[in-house]
Amino acid sequence: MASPNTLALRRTPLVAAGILLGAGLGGFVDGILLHQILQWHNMLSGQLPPDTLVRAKVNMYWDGLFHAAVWVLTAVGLAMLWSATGCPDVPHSGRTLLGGLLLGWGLFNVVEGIIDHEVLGLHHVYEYTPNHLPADLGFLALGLVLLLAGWALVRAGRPR
Amino acid sequence: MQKIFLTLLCSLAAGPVAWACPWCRPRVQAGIYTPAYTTNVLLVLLPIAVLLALGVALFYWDKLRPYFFASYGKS
Repeated sequence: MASPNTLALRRTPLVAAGILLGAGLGGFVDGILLHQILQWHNMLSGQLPPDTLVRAKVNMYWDGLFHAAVWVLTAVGLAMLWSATGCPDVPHSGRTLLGGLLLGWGLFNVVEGIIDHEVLGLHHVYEYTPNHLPADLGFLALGLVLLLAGWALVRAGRPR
Repeated sequence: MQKIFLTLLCSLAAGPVAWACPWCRPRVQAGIYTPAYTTNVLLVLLPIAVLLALGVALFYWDKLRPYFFASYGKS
């Protein structure tokens, strides 16, 4: 039987688990910080501005659905991490996992930013201004920075 | 300790009362369950579905790769 030292190490399961966990946690940062604490936008605030109590509560429903979905994303990532840590050919590398987490958060910002903000226009990052573009681009730029940092960490991760 | 607890309780009881909005709920439900409900569900879940698909595909990449590249080895 091959020992872990003689197996060809593969990092993709650990990176994939990190990506889903990072995307889920990044989704919670968006939902908790930007939707609830700062109240910059809601899930459908581009189509249904929360300017009455009823409209705010309707937006709250769609925010809840979004939170439920990112919870599922996080749970699947956790299950993948558990599965990956049980594989002898997957390295136990904190840098690789942290890189995956940053990649996931960055991917969340880029995918959600392009689909929801730019293509579908469901909402924008900061609704309370006539020019939505600067905040939307800032959100995408943060995503790109996180992607680069995550990629660098994954590359620097060494099997232990 | 008990006096502090009772004082706090009394001060809460003496505060303004908050009521739920009784007429809001039917309007809120009407605002959620519109003919565009299914479309809205799909649109809200679309980015999450994309990310989930990416993550799952990468997790099983070692098993999926032979299927994707199988045709390149055969002429």
